[in-house]
Amino acid sequence: MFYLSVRHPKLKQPALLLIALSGLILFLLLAPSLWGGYARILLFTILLYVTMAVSYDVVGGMLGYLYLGHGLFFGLGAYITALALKNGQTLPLALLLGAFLVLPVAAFLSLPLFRLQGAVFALATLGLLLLGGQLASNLPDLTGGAAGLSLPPNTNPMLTYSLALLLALATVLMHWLLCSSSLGLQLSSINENEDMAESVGINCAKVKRLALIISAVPAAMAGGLHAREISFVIPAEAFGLENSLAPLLMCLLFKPGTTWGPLLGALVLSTAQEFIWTTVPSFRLSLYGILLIFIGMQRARRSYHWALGTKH
Amino acid sequence: MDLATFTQLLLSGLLLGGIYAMVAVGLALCFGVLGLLNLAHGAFLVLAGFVFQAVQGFWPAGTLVSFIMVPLFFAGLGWLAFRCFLQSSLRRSPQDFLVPALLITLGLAFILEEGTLTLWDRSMAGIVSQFDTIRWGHIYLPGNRLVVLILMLTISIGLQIWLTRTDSGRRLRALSQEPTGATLVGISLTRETGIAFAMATALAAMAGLFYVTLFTVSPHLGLPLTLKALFIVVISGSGSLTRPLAGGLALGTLETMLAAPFGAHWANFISICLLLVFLCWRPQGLFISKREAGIG
Repeated sequence: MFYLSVRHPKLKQPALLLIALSGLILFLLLAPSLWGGYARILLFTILLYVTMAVSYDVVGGMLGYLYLGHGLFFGLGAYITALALKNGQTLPLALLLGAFLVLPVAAFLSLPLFRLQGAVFALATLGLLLLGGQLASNLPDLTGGAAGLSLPPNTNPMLTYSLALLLALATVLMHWLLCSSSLGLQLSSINENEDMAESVGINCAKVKRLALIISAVPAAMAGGLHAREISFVIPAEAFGLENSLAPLLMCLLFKPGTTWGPLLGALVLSTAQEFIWTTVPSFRLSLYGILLIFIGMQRARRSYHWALGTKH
Repeated sequence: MDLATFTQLLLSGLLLGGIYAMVAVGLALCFGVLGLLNLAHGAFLVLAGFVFQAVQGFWPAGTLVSFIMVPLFFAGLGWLAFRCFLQSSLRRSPQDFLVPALLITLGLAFILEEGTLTLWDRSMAGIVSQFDTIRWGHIYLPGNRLVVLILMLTISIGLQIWLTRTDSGRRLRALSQEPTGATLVGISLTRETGIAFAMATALAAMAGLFYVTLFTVSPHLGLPLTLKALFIVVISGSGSLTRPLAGGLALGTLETMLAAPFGAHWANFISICLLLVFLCWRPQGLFISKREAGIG
């Protein structure tokens, strides 16, 4: 694989990092049995958000497109996994099926989508998300329509939780490797100047297609895990705007294009969200709104400084 | 389908299309001058519908007064929103304004939607008709629909006259055609764009009033409606108000016509699909060549 030839990222203290990482994994695996069900659900939600935010970053951060369609793949994954589970498949198999079926969808959608740029790209991806929700409620025989699909109760919550942990770790690792691979470099060069990238021989269409696929697969698996966890899928939630916006905010909040940026954003924002849910539930959408306005104004200022050639 | 049904469908389609057209014209006003795609437009529309219903509840006789006062109030609200969130970003970087503006207006849409939900507690708004139904052969035309149709026509014509015949409209057109030149001869970008944004919001409020008289408004209606109208605006290309007007009318008519054989939910699906296909086919606008847009 030429695209994923990794230029050995330098680690300052690999042994220390390895110990810390295995300690973290052990802690996350033991936490549910130490603190019970609520801790498990809370950590599960945070792990899904980490997966979503870090996978969003491949298109939204490294490639630098304003991308509002991440929730589409989340919803597709949720529905495919739910249908597979209903037909008696095991959870890992159902998740893999979701990931596998989302691949051609992402590859196909990238063809028309990446003809567009900037704001129009954002609008088109938002339209696709709405279209997904509409399709799910229009096909009542397959998806149960607006009333949704309900699954048999979750018999093995620890399996769902461990799979979420595995998925989050795999996504973060993939993103970290991607950052230092040639594909990652190509993505950031497209981000900085697309025409220039094309002129030095990068096949922009192909690279962008790969980016969309790489970001879609973890999102689909996260959607599948979410469907299993709550045993219930409805169009309004599976294809909800929040599934696109939460990863976007988490990614753009700190430093898009790095691994730690979306990771930290996901941790901070999902904790904040949990706090708001339990104290002032009616403030949830407004928090998104305020953050969006804040990030938008920041962005406008930054591009102004770039245009003037002054660092800020 | 016989002629009477067809005519009936065409009339309802034109009414729905009229609302799309009003929303699209408001958005085109911003898009043409600022290059601003305003995602909060529909949220203003919904809020106006709810406010109108509340005013009707307090003061049933004041329909005419509230038809004037509510848009005026929303013009002020729009101007305030522009001053607070958009103007500083616009002054800094007009050319890179599109993407940040999308984020800002999306945030605004969320705050407005949450506000509507909190104030009115997840209900729907609708107004009972105050006019009689006109019957003409097999064709029925509810009186309020007729009034709305006439008002919409008047407003569109008024807007055209304002744009082409008044100084304020001329300044706006100058800015949209040649921003640098217009600024050099002393037209203030921020002032004129603020006025355009306020007018667009007032138009959204008016469309909201019409919407609430014709159909019912729910808080979640805003974003899908805005998105459809934005697609129309982008497809029509900037620099014209007649093209989005025609586009809105066409989309409404098409949707109503498709709803008869396929059902309303599929009609909606097909219309979004069509708009997306057009958008990906000609991102620079359906009536504008690539050379003209300076892309290819």
